[in-house]
Amino acid sequence: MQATATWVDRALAYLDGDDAATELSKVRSFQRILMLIVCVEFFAKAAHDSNDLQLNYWIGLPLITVLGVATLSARWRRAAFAGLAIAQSVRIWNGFPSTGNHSYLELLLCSLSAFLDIDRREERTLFLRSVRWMTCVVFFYAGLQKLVHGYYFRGEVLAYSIGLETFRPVLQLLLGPDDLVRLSHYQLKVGEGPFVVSTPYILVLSNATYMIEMGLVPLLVSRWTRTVAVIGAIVFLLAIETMAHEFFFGLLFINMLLMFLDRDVNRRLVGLFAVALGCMLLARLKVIPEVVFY
Amino acid sequence: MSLAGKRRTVHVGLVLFTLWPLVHIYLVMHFNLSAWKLAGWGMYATPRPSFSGIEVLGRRPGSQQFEKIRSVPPQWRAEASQFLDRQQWLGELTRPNELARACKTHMPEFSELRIIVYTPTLDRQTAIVVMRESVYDYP
Repeated sequence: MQATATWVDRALAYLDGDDAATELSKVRSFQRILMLIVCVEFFAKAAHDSNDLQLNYWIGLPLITVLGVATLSARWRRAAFAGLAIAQSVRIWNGFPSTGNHSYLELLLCSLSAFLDIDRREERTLFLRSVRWMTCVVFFYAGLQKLVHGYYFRGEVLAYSIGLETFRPVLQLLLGPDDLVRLSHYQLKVGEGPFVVSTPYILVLSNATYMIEMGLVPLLVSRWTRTVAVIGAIVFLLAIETMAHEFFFGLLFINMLLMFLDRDVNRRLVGLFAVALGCMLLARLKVIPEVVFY
Repeated sequence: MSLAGKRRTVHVGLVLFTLWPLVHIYLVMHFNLSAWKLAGWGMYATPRPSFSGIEVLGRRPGSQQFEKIRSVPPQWRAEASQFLDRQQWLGELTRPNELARACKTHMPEFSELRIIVYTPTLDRQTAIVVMRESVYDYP
């Protein structure tokens, strides 16, 4: 057990690299953004289709608000994150098995925030290492899954995604005229196909997706390439989000990526995250023009 | 909890977090679990699953042939719809046992039941949409 712990510790230590003066501020900012994402998602889901906690709105949403506000207090922070983790578990349980993957990440990150005391240096280091490790795991497997299931070599997923509301406008811009005419006629019925693309740069794009996802991992681990990798990963995520519209996942993952930077750059971005999440909530409430997002 | 205890707990969690997607890939390949869900990080790795359909066949005692059962109670339809939602993500890790039990209660004249779930799937080799059938027999 001791040997395993040492081995895991050694592996995690490759992910170190923080400016000691801003380390605490960085982790606090991460937790603030995490809280905003989790709380806004509860509100957005309640406004949309269902109440995730299956509680009366007048109990569920104030409860989430109180927990969110309590995460800002040094005294109640860990207890409040434990509360958010419980709420998140209930949400996952009620939605299982159709719960989105980012919900599991949110649960783990809330649990980690409740479990570790970030005011203690050793625990803060463990927190930073854990978030970075999880980011690398998600990126690596996102690429590996695409590779092993084999739907990217001829652009099959992109071709099939022309049937998805959020993908269609972007694919209409990107696809060559022959592919566009052929794929637009399909209605995803049995016997239709082949769902492949012949537009060369779409094929490159399709195959580059899993290569970038897996290739980013060593670049994020190495301190020499970390900053460039974080910027590249964020640009890559934003490009994907133009089609996927998985905005909660995108924001959560950008928050995780910002933890790789040695300084507390995320502290200056808390407001930007709040604005983005506020816009998403207003769109869900139809106060501003509606945008489809998940 | 001591720092060493916390460290051990987090390490175990991270090891599980790292290994689970390998199990997930295995389940996707062998049990038609959806790559999209259950924290395997396979969102968009496969085409998004589309709607599924379900059919119930019954065999009367002494008969060789299965016949299609068309008159199912409305409650059964609602339960079937819930099952299809689950099956879309869990693949063959879930079985329509409750549906079969309800059918047998409402239609005791059938000694054997067969439930078939139809799922349009993009064939990996041909990239053509094919119908995948999952057959569940209840003697």
